[in-house]
Amino acid sequence: MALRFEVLGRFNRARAAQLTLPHFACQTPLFMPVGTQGTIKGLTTDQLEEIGCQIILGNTYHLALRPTSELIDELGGLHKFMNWPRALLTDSGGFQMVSLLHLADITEKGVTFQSPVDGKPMLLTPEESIQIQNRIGADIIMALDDVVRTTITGPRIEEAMYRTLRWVDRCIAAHKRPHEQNLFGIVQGGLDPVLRDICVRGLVDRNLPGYAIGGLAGGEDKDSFWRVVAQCTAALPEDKPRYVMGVGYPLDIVVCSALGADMYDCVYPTRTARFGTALVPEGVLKLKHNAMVNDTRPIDPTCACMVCKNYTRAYIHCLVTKDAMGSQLLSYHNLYYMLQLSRNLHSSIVEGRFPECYIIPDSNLCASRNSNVVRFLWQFPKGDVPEWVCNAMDVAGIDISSCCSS
Amino acid sequence: AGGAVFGSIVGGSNIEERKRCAQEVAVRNVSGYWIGGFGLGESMEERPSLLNAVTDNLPKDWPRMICGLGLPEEVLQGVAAGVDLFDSAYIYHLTIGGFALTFPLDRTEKNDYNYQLSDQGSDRTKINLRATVYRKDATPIVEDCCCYTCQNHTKAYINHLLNVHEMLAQILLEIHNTHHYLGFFRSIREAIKEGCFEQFQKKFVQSRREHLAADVVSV
Repeated sequence: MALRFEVLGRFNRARAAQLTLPHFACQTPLFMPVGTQGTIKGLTTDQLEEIGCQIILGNTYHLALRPTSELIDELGGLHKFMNWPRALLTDSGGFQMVSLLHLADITEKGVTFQSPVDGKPMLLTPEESIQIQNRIGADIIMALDDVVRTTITGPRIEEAMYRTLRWVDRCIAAHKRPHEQNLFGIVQGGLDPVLRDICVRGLVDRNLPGYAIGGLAGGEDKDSFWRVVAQCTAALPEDKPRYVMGVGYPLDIVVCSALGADMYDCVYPTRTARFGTALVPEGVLKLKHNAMVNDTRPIDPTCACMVCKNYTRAYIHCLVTKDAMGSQLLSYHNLYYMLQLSRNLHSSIVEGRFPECYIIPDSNLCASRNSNVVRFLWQFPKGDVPEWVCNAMDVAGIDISSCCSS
Repeated sequence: AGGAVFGSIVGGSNIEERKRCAQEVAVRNVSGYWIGGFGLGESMEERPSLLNAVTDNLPKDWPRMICGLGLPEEVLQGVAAGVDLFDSAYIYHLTIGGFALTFPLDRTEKNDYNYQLSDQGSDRTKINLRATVYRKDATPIVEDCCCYTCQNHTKAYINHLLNVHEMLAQILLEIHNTHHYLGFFRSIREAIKEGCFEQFQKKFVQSRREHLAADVVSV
């Protein structure tokens, strides 16, 4: 165990905590930008520190291909290689199993991929995944899990869940640096509450430093999604971090935090930036749209980031259609937006005002206490808040009826 | 409505036309001179006389700007002829190609830098960070460079970024190349102020030619 997790405040199931890792003391709930290949697309590590990024995710699969984990190890680990002084998390490479399934063969031994670089078969075993992650040196490493798409039904899901538990034991045995790197287990089981329960209990028995809720964010309907998160957060230990992998949209993060989750990662903010889309309190703003041509306002007048302080929508509109700098500026803003969301979640829970700032659009409380509050339900000005959000918030014990027209 | 207007001087590779154009523009009411049509195929040898044909016929009190001279030796030719402002896409092309400027800015005597001959496109001016020889090189592009890139990152990291086609590679290279190139211009200004520009130019050009000669011998 190489972390400390201290809950600083609660609101019903939601918690705000300090997660102290070897390289950085983080505040949760937190969002982790995805730096797949050892970089967040187009942003320098200075800029990432500037916007308050606490922990970045690197991908074992990609880094093992290029530049290889041996090279990273030789040069002192990923922190040193990319010059990032704060925390890092690597995933196991398992998610690629789902994305590249047509090329993968999953057996009890591990997963065979076809290398996209030279076509050679690559075998990723739990042991190999942990060895690679040991070399990369991240503060948090993920156990190799047997990931199955939530849109699949049948015995495959049960097989994958039990295999995940067997593989976690192999991961634990292979882990050479438990005092420097925290191995998180991943809860699988598809959308089946019975399977999820078995998996949670199995992982908790292994007494890991932290737990992730995996196998979601893959196209399942939102109603099933929140129920799995709710079930897992209810069953996982109070005193350990809970990481919902692959989530996501600001709305999803707020709901999951209300249900008791602490950590998130998603490519969405940076990917959508590269398509010219900015995140704003009202939802999204498409900078490529013709309406932006003459718009001299910043992306978000309430945003304090460098981009909103220095550039107009009109200027960014010009760039996004022609130059990489457009994506870079939008990535900066979008990440700032997500990180500010995390900070607001943390402080609003600690200060006991979590519901007000998120639920009541016109609250003077919000305006005076926190000018950068993400008024996420402003995305639904007509009060047409999705049913899944209403149901989830109900379970979370948060009254949002004032925002719903129905 | 406000703003300075510069007069354009053209004339191709024809000394007489250059002279005539410069003389005509010089009597117009402009705030400076934009010298066009260079860097389009004229040789290093013929350029100085063409440049002088222009600048000899321009008043000393107004700025002269030139487009198309980017290589350090070309810039030195422009400075020698009395040009003040330079505009080119040299840095852009270096960055896009994965190159980083490394030529010494220090005007004191420096020992020979042992460049790997296996580098593709590397010489004493610049290195190609795509080259595999940099895969594990944990040193900055230029050892005592104080740009953001050299203060924070290694050749190995930039090599990796280039290999995986990450945008950050170009950002880091552009920062360094711009910084280095502007440092070159600072050296030029200092040399002029100290009255030893001619010497500076000679030494600079000579050191590059020596290196190329050395390469030929050792191959």
